[in-house]
Amino acid sequence: MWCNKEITGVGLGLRSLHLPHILQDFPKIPWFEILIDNYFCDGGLAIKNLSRIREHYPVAFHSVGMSIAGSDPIDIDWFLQLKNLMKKFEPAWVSDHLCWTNFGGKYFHDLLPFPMNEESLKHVSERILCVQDILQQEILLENVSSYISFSTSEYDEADFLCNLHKKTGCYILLDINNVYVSAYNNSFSAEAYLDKIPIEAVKQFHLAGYEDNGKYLLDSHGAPVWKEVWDLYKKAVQKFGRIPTLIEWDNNIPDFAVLVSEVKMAEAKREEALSELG
Amino acid sequence: MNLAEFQSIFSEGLLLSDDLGNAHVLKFLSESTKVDVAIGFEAYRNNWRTALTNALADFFIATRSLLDEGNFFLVARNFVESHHAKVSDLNCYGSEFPQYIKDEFEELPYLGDVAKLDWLWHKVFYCRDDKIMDYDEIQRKLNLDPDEIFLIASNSLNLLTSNYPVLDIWNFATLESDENVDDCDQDEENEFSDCDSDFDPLGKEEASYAYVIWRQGYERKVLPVDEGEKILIDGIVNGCSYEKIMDRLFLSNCDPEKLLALAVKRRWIVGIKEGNE
Repeated sequence: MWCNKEITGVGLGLRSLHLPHILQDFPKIPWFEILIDNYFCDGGLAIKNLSRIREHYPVAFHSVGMSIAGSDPIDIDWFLQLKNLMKKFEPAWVSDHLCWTNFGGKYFHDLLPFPMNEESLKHVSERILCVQDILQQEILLENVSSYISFSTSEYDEADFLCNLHKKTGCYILLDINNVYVSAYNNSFSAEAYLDKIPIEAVKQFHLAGYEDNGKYLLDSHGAPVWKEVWDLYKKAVQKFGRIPTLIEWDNNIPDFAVLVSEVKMAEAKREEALSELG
Repeated sequence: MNLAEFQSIFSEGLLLSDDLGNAHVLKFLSESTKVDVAIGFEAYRNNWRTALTNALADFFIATRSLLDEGNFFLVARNFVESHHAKVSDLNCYGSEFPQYIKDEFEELPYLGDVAKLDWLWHKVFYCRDDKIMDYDEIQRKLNLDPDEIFLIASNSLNLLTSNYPVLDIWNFATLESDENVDDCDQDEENEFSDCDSDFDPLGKEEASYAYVIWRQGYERKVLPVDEGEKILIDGIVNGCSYEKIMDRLFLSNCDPEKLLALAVKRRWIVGIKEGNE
């Protein structure tokens, strides 16, 4: 099994469509991010394939099921399953989103927003501490794309994340596309957002494509990274350095070669950004 | 209003019809953004509906092919509106869809059973691996004392009965959609089963077709089964004792030993336990 200290460079989100190619040719991708909610089964081909992937690549776990800002009780069974998978596959880290996904026993399978105020800061901080105690390690939290904002919010998202980092020691998975999409939809400065985040808090970047439907930008994960997002990524690299970066593509998934070209582009943009610093 | 109260209102707003849902939530949203608040909120409503509808489209491949895309997505969306996800694992969503299809398409009475086969085919992919006891060990235990012995079914073992040739329809539909084809094992020779062909145990009132859906190792399989196999599978998945299953098999003029060997070879049976285990 690869040592996970080697997670560097630009990785890819593992998608089942590409497994036959990956498991046959083992392309030179530095690491894969695993959407771990898809592996909450005790066996079968999915787990077998993940074992084979893990023999050849470092991996990080990414999930959508923690509901870290949720007010339903923490689902301990869900976390025990996650822990089992962590023990088996030894991911470099585990990340989820700054959002809630269920309420009253109903699951939305979407990353839902909430007012960011003192009460929610206390609530989310306590949940993170509890989760980190269960998992026995710090987690990474990702900023999500948003399409609305709340009149009762007291913090902007960047400040809220910074406070969570300070209070709990959790790290930030900075999704550059989400920063851009939320900044556009909610009329704030994406650059100012990056400025607020402390360098030591960020452990990973995400890059993905959005969809412009004319009314708002939708975080679709179904298109190449847009030019504006590449530009913002370069600014992020100039501030945060060579942070491990991931290309996400979840809908209208193209051939593996297209994803590889996005990886190459990210590598090129990163080097370009660093060389511009001199 | 605390976070839980907010989430309660937001959830209700997402689940209610558009105008009613908007009335619940819009008062909490800030008007100062670029996006109209109603449109912004609608993005979340679309997201959860789309996530669940797309999951159904991925799981119910033959049903989707038979209904065609437009009809399928219409009925899937109606289902999603009335059947909310109750667990975080998206792969578990849709168990009630076959019955919904059955009720919605009374003029296509086989369609619900095709959807059931779709669901079982999806489900066996994700089920737990079995701990497998070998045939000699099973025989040894059976020889000790067959009373109060129970055969352990594979976690993936499912029996589907229908009044219609569901597997033929399903094969046709999945061939059309070019999916599942490689995994289907319908024509595998049945080398063991030798039930009396004149025996008509199903009777005119019962389902005319029976199929077994399971996973052998990592490979999903679906096969038509004869009466003896059906009795055996039905018995083990329903937790009947070995003795009771054997009695039923003798009554149907099948050779229980051959059937047992077949079931172990195909890993329908993965072990044996005593009644008090």
